[in-house]
Amino acid sequence: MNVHCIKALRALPCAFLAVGLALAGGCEKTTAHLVDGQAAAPDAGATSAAMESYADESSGWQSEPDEADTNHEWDPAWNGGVEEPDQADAGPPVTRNPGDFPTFTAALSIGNQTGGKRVVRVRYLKPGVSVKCKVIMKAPHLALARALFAPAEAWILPSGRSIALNPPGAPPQGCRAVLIDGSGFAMRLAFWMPDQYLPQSMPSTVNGTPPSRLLAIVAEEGGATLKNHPALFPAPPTFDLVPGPGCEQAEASAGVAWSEPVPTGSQTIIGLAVAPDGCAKMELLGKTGIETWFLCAPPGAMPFAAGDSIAMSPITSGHDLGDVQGVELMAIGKRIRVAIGEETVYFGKGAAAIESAPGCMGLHDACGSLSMPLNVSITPEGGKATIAKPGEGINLGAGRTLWVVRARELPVANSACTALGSGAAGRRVESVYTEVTP
Amino acid sequence: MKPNTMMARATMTGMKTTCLVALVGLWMSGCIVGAVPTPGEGSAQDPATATGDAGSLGDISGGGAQNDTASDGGTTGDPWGIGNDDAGSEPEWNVSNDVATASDASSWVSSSDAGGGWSTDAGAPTAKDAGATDTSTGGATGLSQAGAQDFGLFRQILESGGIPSPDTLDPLGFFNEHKLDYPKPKCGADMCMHGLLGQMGNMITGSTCTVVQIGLNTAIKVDKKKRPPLHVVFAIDTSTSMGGKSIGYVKAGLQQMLDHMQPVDAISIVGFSTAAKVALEAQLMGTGLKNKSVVETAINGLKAEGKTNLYDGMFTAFGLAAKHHVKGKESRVVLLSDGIATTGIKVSAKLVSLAKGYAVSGIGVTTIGLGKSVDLSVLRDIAEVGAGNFYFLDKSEAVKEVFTEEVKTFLVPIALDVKIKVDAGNAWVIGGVYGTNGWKGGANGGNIHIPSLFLAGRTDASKPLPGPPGTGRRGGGGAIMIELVPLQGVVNNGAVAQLDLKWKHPQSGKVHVQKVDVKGYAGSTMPDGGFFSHPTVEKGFVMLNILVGFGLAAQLATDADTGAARGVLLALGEEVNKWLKSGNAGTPDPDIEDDMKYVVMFIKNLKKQKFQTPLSKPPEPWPKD
Repeated sequence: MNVHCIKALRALPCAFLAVGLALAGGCEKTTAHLVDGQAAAPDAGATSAAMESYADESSGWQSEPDEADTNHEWDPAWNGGVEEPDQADAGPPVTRNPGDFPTFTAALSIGNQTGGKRVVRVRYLKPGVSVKCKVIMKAPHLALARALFAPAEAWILPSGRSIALNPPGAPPQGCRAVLIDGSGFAMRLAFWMPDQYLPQSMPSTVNGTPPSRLLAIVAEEGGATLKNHPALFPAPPTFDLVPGPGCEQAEASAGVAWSEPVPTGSQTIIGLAVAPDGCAKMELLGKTGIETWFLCAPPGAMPFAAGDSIAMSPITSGHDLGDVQGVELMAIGKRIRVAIGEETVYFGKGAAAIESAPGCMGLHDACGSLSMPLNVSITPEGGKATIAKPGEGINLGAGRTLWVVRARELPVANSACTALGSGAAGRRVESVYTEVTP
Repeated sequence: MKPNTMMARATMTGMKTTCLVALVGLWMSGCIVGAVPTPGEGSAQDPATATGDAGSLGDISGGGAQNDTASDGGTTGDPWGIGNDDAGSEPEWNVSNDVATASDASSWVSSSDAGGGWSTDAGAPTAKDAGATDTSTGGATGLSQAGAQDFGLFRQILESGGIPSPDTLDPLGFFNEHKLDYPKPKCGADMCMHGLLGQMGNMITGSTCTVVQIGLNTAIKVDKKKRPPLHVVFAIDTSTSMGGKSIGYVKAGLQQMLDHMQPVDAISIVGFSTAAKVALEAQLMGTGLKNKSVVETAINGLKAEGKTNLYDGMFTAFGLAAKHHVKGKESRVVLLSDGIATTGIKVSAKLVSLAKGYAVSGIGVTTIGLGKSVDLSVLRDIAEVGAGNFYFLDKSEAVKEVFTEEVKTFLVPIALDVKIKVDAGNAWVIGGVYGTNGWKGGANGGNIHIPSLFLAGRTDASKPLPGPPGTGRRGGGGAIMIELVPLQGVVNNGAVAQLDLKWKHPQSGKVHVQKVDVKGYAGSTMPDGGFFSHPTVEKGFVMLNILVGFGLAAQLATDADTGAARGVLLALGEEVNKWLKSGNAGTPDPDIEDDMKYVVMFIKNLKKQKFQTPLSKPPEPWPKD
């Protein structure tokens, strides 16, 4: 399923709930879902009517504002004393044999063993979230922030019935993570590795589902709960954990950046303006005319001035300048390389060592990405090792300087998060190298 | 159901995450944190409270409200001859030896009487905020924090029959549409802090909730103020996405704003689409029509076409502002855009770092969002770090409101680098902080950082809303609400919280400090209906409940649980309606009445959704005390 289809499903969760079949945007959903104790009908209208009927009967609500009324004044006659719907209203009893209900293929299912209907909400990871599963598998609930999960799909699950937990778009080898909550029971995280529970066919009923494959909602005093299961973990906390010592990092805004497309070949800088944050606007005269191009490097790193003739080229992964991507600008006696990748950009003679910064177990950003700072130690040829600090250049001698702008390990990354820039989980070192030969 | 998620992109912005699920965490902050921390928990690991940032404040003795400033005397460093604040040789933030001086206030009044600066009715410092009930009310001007100034997008979605997604409701913007009448500002400085206490059952499930409401107001009067000369650089998005109404709003707004410029003010216009172009550079307004005509010609020449090179637009605008930035003149960029970059540097963090870099050198930025699809968080973040405000133009009435009313206040800040240190009392822990994006802290305390504060236009909560029907409620000023949870088994020493304020005058650079102790209810039995140390806390409490109710309902609706969303709003609506009819001495409140209109609208919109879940009991929004 492509991203567009996923969005369409999420934008129409109730339609998905009630119909469970093919939806707008050309998406295909082949697994039949169940509503109100009946197999999902291909006739959306009929199912919709059943749903509305249920809502009216179960709520007993008669005095809400009428949606057709254009007056928006509050009427005191409206009764705000909402009561929980009668959970004993189990809807049509499940009297058929498990074999009478459709089956689905899934690793796990969630089933209702409470004796009454339950609203169940499941939230899968958003598209674009990537995870280093083995890094987080011991405590996934602390690594996977709630911000990583998409809006819920809601289901009304009759007693005795179950639904498949099939995270959409999960890579074959990737771990699975689902937030589950519902009426009367608290949120839990389901997390498993694909080889823990190989997908198999199972009924859409509690009866007949192997216990090892069932996340069961069971009744308990005053409500319900999810019965313990090896795949269940506590819900991720709603608040940010206090970062431990060593978690200090360069601000997101301090990163390197450049505008696309990158002009290539010979250029003359006919205009150069540098902002306080180090970003430079360059007016470049090349074979195709004048182009405006932006490059963000640490303040003071830009070695060029207006009037310089330069050669520009992209740095691509696999290049001999390191496992990085970036851009290089050169002139006689001057050079700058700006790059992002698994390591520092090539800086000539000397060595770089990258290791985890001690004391920090990770820090979430607002998008849910989890980052752990890395220490980058630079040893110039014949010199002493120096741990690079964000924003400070390391003098390599002979007019050469290296900036390690940011260095982080991202066990969990949300590539949709523009603050971080796009990127998958893994190591991310942002570095700048300059040469100014007298 | 189709929740209206106008945002296409997620950005990194503190608690204003675009993640819908995370917002449940926000609304439920302190609510589903099941275990109440034990005394001392959190403080050792809390870097915010462990910093020495506010350490110098400890030198100030005594409880109650105090305002301490360095003594005033000369006018050095005061470019407009106000004579109230003197940068002198005092180093920034080095104020451990501050002494409160009555002359601070008196010299202020006399100088403003001379017509050289803001007009105030500031009196001598008093100790009104010591926790006892204080019924004095202001008619004073509120102060609004940099960042969101409205919840226009949330309103717009409801009015169009849609279901707003949680990220469209910004607590700061929502609070700023509420005028709260704080006690009279008598601390003797441009800005006074009030720490007020409220304890009552919440309006969604009824469990008891304790809040400390922090209010900021000023004796400065908006209508009588004289501001420094301005150079305003408009960075205007002229990409294709701004076509239709949006570009029309921009032109109309700029035209209206011209009438509020002074002869000494200058205007620059930068239009940006695929690239940025300077349409007008530092045009002095002057006194005749000729110069105004030049500006109008530039405005009318704007056309919507091409991609959106937001970074180039801002870079060019800031560059112009910096080029003409001179001492004695306020420079400000006003960005009008949907905030969605489609070419150039598209990493939003770089926009933020650009604004932050120029804010340090005294060039602020105000952002105004418009368009069918808006990246709220980008515009909000730029304004927040850029010492400015963010507005959303949801309809034509808002254009007038923002460009004729708000423009009186949003161009020049009243205070910069505002820091409020919050320490919970020994028997309390902090369960949540609402109405600021600058909170960093833990259970026992923390710090609120506000990059800049601006005058809020409205002066009286009981007055009808300004403007014709349909106009927004911008200019309220808002509040910061701190939810507190009592620790079990700890003897209360009477203090609920201690607040320490520190801020910098934008022109003189002088640092002011103030300390407020918030005392608990002294009686043995809590009165029916709760306790409020000041009448305005009651409104603040209702406002907070509505915010939480809207947030919960939006989240539940986004999660396809229309029944639970309706349950929240029905319970909330009934209680708020009761409050409007019987609370607050039966005094109607235009802000809350307007909120109720949107509660009803929200319920109706939910009922219009084709598929429904059963109406259900609302979840607990706060931990029970």
